[in-house]
Amino acid sequence: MSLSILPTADDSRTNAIFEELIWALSRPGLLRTMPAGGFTAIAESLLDRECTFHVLGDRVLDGESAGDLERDLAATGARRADLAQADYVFAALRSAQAVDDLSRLRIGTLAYPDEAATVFTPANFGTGQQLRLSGPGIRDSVTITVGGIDASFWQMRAKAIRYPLGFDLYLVDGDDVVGIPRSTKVEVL
Amino acid sequence: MTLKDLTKPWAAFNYGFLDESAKRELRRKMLKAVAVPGYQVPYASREVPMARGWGTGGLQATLTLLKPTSVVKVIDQGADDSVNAVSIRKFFARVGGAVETEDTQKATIIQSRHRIPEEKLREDQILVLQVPDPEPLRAVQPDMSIAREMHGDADYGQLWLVLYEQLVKSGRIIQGSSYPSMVNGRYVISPSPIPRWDVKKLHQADHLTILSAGREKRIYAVPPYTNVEPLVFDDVPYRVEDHQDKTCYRSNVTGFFMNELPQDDGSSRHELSDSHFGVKQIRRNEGEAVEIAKTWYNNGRMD
Repeated sequence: MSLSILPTADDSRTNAIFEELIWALSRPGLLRTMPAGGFTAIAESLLDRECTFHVLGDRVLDGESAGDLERDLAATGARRADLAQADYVFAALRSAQAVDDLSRLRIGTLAYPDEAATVFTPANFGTGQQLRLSGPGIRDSVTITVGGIDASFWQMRAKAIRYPLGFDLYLVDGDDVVGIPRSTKVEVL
Repeated sequence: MTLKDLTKPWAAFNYGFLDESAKRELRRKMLKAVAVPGYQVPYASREVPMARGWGTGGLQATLTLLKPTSVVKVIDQGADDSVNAVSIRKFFARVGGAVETEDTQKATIIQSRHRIPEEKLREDQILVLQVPDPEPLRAVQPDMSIAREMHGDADYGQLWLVLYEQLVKSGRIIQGSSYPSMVNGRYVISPSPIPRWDVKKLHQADHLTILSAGREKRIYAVPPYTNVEPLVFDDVPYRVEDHQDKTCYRSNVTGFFMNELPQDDGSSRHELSDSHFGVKQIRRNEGEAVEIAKTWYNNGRMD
């Protein structure tokens, strides 16, 4: 019996994106580069009919590239849900209003802290606010510079997270991704 | 949106045995496991061509990570050459086209049962531990719903009681494997049935560890640079097995975790438990240029 042991292009892409995501999340603050970029590629590796999503803002989270993120996310089979129920939230956080909206995110329960939201947000690395991260996955501490996120967000995050409850965050800049799980302490410098 | 839109063209076999929806579910759960170190995330645990309890949890985690360029090492009680280890490793080569290795340094994914290699793992390596019983509270709380609440409340008092009773009855803590350990100061985990010798290798390690229990359908993780502290009393320090002064009769190496081999005359001999580490030492003794990485323990001591 011969087996087809080579992955299809889809398999390779989703596997590689997952590998970058788990690297990014297990080493918060470390910049990882995905082979194919963008929110659609991330969604394709993680989302399917078992998940719910919510998009806040949009025109592919700020219109730089044309397309329809909602439609792409729905094409994975995942269902749209209200922000307070959604598993995966794709949100632009450029304004205080957007950050305020996000305060209704699911943070899980003490019995099931995994039933919490995962947030993907566009950001720019290398310019903007300096953040010092510490916690699991980080030796001592690491400093990153992130732009494109409203200053009120980090305060909102600190308030929302009552470890082990809280949400997990990925900052996405084109093909680059930085993971900030709820276990990470973020200090605004 | 119809089901037809979501259906991929027919194929005889999916890469890496698991179908893509199974992999996506595992990816989601693994990411949550990393985000909350030590918390046991429930997952579906699919059927694999192996009986539950023989490493199906580790198998599924590895299959999710697998790509054709992966180099996989599989350990069973320290050995690369047991039937269980060999057949799992061959399975990865067969369904994933992965490269098989016995060398810890060459592997990108190390799936293991009961041991962590003696050579230090690098940050680009992932350790997947097979877990028979992920619940450290099971001995004190058989009801898993209540155990879940206890984890939620960080209510671990009874685990200390178990250790105290061992101390009172036996004069020392006799918990030999699956030593309950606090991860990131919040969740107590069972580090899988690794000996006490190996638990310290998880503390502030360079590598990511994924622990997966297929039969129990739970997956949890220890990210790199995370505190893993065995539960100990202030006045009774943590003790690893007394193998500091044992010498391997085949490789003449001292100060690593050993297998004890009883002899006919009632005495016993010792051999290195980490089989490929032993092979490398023997080759080096025979004059071959063998590269051996830094080890966690030196002369039987850590640090």
